Order: sequence, then structure tokens, then C-alpha cells
Amino acid sequence: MSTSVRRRCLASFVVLLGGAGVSRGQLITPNSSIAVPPVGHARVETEYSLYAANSFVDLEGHEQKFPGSLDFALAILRVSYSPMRNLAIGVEQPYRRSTFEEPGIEASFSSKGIPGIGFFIDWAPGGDKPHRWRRVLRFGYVRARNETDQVLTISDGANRYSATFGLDSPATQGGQGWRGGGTFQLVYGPPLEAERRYLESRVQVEAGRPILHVLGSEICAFGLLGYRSLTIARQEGMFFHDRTSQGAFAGLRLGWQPPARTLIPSLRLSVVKDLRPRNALCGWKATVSLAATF
Amino acid sequence: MQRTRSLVQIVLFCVTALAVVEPALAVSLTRGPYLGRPSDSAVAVIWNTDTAADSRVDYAAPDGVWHTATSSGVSAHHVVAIEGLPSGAEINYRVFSGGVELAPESSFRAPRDATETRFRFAVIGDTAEGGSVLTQIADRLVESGVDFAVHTGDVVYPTGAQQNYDKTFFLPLARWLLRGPVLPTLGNHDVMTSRGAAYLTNFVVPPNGVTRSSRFYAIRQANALFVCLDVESSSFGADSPQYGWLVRTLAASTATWKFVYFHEPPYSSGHPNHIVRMILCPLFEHFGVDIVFSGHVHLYERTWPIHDFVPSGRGVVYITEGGGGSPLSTFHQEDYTAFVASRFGYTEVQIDGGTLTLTAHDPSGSVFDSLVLDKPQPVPSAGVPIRAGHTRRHLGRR
Repeated sequence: MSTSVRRRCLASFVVLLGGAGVSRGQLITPNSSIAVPPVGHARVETEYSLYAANSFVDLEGHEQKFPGSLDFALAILRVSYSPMRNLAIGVEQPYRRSTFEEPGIEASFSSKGIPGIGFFIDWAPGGDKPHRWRRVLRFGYVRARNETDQVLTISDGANRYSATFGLDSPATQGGQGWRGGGTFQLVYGPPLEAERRYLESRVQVEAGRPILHVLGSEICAFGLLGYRSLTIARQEGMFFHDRTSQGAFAGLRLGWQPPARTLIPSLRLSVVKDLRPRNALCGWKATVSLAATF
Repeated sequence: MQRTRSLVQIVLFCVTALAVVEPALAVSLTRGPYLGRPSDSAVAVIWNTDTAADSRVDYAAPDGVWHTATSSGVSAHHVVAIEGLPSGAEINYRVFSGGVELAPESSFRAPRDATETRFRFAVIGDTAEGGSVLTQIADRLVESGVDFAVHTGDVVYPTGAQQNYDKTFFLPLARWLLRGPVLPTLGNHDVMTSRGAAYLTNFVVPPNGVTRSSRFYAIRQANALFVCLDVESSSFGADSPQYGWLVRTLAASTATWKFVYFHEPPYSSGHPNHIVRMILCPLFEHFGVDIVFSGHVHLYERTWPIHDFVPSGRGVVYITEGGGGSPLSTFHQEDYTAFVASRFGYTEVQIDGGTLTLTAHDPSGSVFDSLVLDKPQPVPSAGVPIRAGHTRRHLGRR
């Protein structure tokens, strides 16, 4: 099969996915980067995040501190492939482990497993031309696993459709200047059996600059600031309330970009703290991610 | 002669003036009377009048001797506490303000001291849109002769404003409220106005010794401890005053039976509150709580005994009683649920020493679920972390 035929087949597959209503996408973390690989190439991204929740803050701002530790670990593998210019299709596979321990009175519970699977299409309008800002639009769908109620559920059972707009300023030659970027995401969950529809919006902006260049590689430091608002309090695979939820977050991220034209993956490390949550968990999230294009 | 005529004129003037003024000063009842429990051993008689006046309650124990209790000052909201009543006795009472008897004579059951081991109580919840259903439930409570009713919250709809109380609570339940106290907990609707200020004014419950208002409290009745928590307007996290108070209260209790109640259920086939479950439920298990009562979801539900967050042969039974008349909820039955039904009604609990019999009733009084718990005697000593050894007999649906 020639390259052009293979690309046409893949493009047809993407169109079919879109037409069938399956192409919709996505779990994002403070580290997630949305990028379309060159035509005929694949991009692999793995993320591992650990969220330690200290408390839950209700709508009135009352903080309910947990007597023990409540931790959520999330691993995500994303693989995307670009069958045609400026377009990639991908699949996302998360794995979650949730743990609650109260050593004082020997209470503990944990659950782990695959909470669902996601599919997405990335589109980078004008992506192969040099721009000050690189823009990518991602349409995604996460098919959630149904689960009966336990104290810690790895899946809240809600399927999600999402549209995510990513913006960032790539390194310029010499690469000493300030850089910025951000993501804006809208998520829609159709009504469930006894629950109304679910809407979520999330915005994250970031700004930073290179702090070190070594052997063609580069280390950048970014400050992150974000806000999320939900019509139903869902978080970390759990359903907390059928009332609204919101909260801001802020943190730092270090990114290491290897020399160009190597197969060495880029590395991102971020630490984010929740700020003024309402009807939401309050804690710290640390995320490590690796991404490479093949 | 002239002086006599003047005196007669003065007397006539005074009599005429009194005759004219008297009707304007007559005090009339605007709410109640109803009952509260200011402490383990006391009952409060409460009523509202259209004008400020003094407060007096005449009461008689079975010996037939009438006594008088009063409260100081004048007010349109009257609270008269009665102490020193013989344990479990039927007490007749009459209420007066401004010298006027405001309601027909009624009676209530005096609090039972710790030596008693037999009594009954009811659980009602989400009564806020109860209407005729709530009136039926009130009739059943009067007929059953329970000592008091625990209310699992959402006393009024749509908000906790004072003007909502008469229509949605005091009038439909009036027949019962004359005879037994309601031990309430704050629901999410109750706290929507001024954090439940009207609720705190209307109900008389024991102080908790930690916070100024009794949003959470505990009361002892016979061989049982009742702990009310506030999960709607107070922090209940591990560093909160309420959490510390709960630990101390449960650890110090020598009661054979321990019950906890609050609004949002930690286990529910409707909307469980996972935060309450993670923070508070381990404590209930650790300190041997027998049953936790909640509302919020408009149905009746009983779980299997739950230990360490999963159903097991031992642990805490969670009852959701939210069938007080508000529109019924749908549900998706969970694995930990022993019985769930989207129906109106109330729950009745009978304690007989180490045996507890719980029955769920519809508004006509028919039983649709029941549970029997037995526990060995004697009771555990205070201060020892205990794991109550229960054997349970589930009678199932009828």
C-alpha cells in the first residue's frame, strides 16, 4: 500500500469517526500539551499525576478536613497519528487508583482500574506555517465505565464530549524571550438516569521563559493559573454533589525540551495548588509527563 | 354626697375604660403549643402569641397535683422549661399568656431517665411539602404513642424563612406537636435563609457546650443516645469543633443504643454524600453506633450493616427516611442496599432492653420494611472504643 493510499484510508477513518459521532475527547491535566505531529508521524504522551486532597470545601466555604489521607493517582497514555496535514486522530487510555486511609481508627479503602477510554481529533489550522502562536483544537469523547457506588469510585459513570482549544508560543531561534499559552476546555455530559446534564468549563493560562540551555536542550519555567466551573460536582472520578462546583488553581511547571530531531521525549513537571474551591476538593497535584514524536 | 357621686363616677369610668381596653389587650395564639427538649431531663413548652405577654404553663403528673412553671419577661415567642418530671410519666399541661388559657389541655410523655430500657420513637424527614401526607403521618404518630420524633431535615421549603414554617410544618403536624417533641436536624433547604436562623429560633434542643447555637447536639433517652449532627451549615472536618465534640460524645457514652442523625445520607441509592461518608462513617463504626438516620433523598432506604465502607455481617445500618411528603425521588439500587422504596411514610423504632425493632410505615400505618437488632447485655463501659457485637434478624418486606 503506497503512502498516499494509506493516508487516504486513515483520513477516511477519521471522517467516519466524526460522522459516527464518536470523535469527541478529554482528560487534561496542568501538563497536557496539545500538538499535531507531522504528517505520517505518531505522537505518544504519557502523564502520571498524584492528587493529594486535604479537605473538601462546600458551597458556603466550610472546609471539611479529612481525618486521614485521600489520594488520587492518574496515569494517562495518549497516542495520536497524523494521517493528513494539520490533523491527528488519537486515543487516550487512563488508569486511576484512589486511596483513603485513616490510620487513627484503622479505616481504609482503595480502588483502582480503568475508568474509561477516550478518543480525540486534533486540528491545527495553519500548523505547518511559522506563527508566533501555535493553535490546536481538540474534539474529544471519553466513554466512562459504569460503576456501582463505593466510597471511592474510579469512574463517575458520566460520558463526556469536549472541545479544547490550546494555544502556545513555540521556541523562537535563540529562544530567550517570554513565552505564553493556555488551554480552554468545554465539556458536556449528557443527562444520566437520575441526573441532569453536566457542563464543565476550564481555562488555564501560563507564562514563562527559558532558564537554562544545555547541549541543544532547553529548560523552561512557567507559572500557571487556571479556573474551572462545573454544573455538577464531579472530580477525580467521583460524584460529590448535584450542585455547582468551582475553583481556581495556580502552580509552577518546568519543561525540558530535548535537542531537535532526536527521539528523546520532552519532559514536563508541574505542581499545582487549588485556590478557593467551592463544592470541590482542595489539595495539591503533581504531574509528570513525557511526550515524543515518532 | 358630692364626694360619693364623684367616687361612683370614677369607678364607672374605670369599669368602662377596662371594658373598652380589655378586648384590645387579649392575647391570642399564633403558633403552637409545641414541645422541645432543652436537656436530657427537661421538656420545653413553646408557643407564639400575637402580642408580647407573660408565659405560664400549668402541668400535672399522674398524681393529679397541678404545678406552675413560668419564664421571666414578656415576649411573643414563649418558651417555658419544665424540670423534675417523673421519668416516662404522662404529663397533662395547659398554657397561659396574659392570664388567658390559649389552648385546650393536652399531654406529653416526660423524658425517661437512664434506668429505663423500653421506649419508642419515630423518624420523619423531608416533610417540607408534606401537606395531607404529613397530616396523616401526624395522626399515626399520635396513635402510636412514640415519645418523640427525630426529624432528618428539610423541615421547610423552599427556604428556611420564618414565614414558611407555619404552612409547611406547624399546621400539618399540629396534632402531633402538641404531644411530642421533634428533635430536628438542619437540612439544606433549612439553612438557605440566614443559615437557618428561623430553625434555631423555633426549635429547643440541648446546648452542645462548644458552639453558641445548637446546630449539633446530643440527648439521652432511657438506654439510648441520640446524636444530631449538622452537615449543612457547620464544618464537620477532622479539625472542626463538631468533629471533636462528636468523638468526645460517642467515646463517653455508656448508652446501650447509639443513634446518629443528620440530613444528607452517606449511603444512598439516590445521592450519597461521599464526604460525610469518608469523614464521619469511620467514627460511627469505631464507636459502635447502631443506626444512622438521614433524609435528603425522598424515599425510604435501609442498607445492610456496613463496615469499612462495604456491606458486611456487622457494622452500622444506614436508614434514609425522606418520605415525609415532598415529591418522591427516583433511585438506582446500590449493592449495599437491603431495601429501598420510593414511598411516603415514617419509621418507628421500639427499644426493649437489648432488642431493637425498626419498622417502616406508609402514611396509613401499614408496615413495608422491618429490622430487628439484638445486642448482648450488659452495656460496655464508658471511654472504651467498642465494637458492638450485634446479631441481626432481617424480617424483610411485608
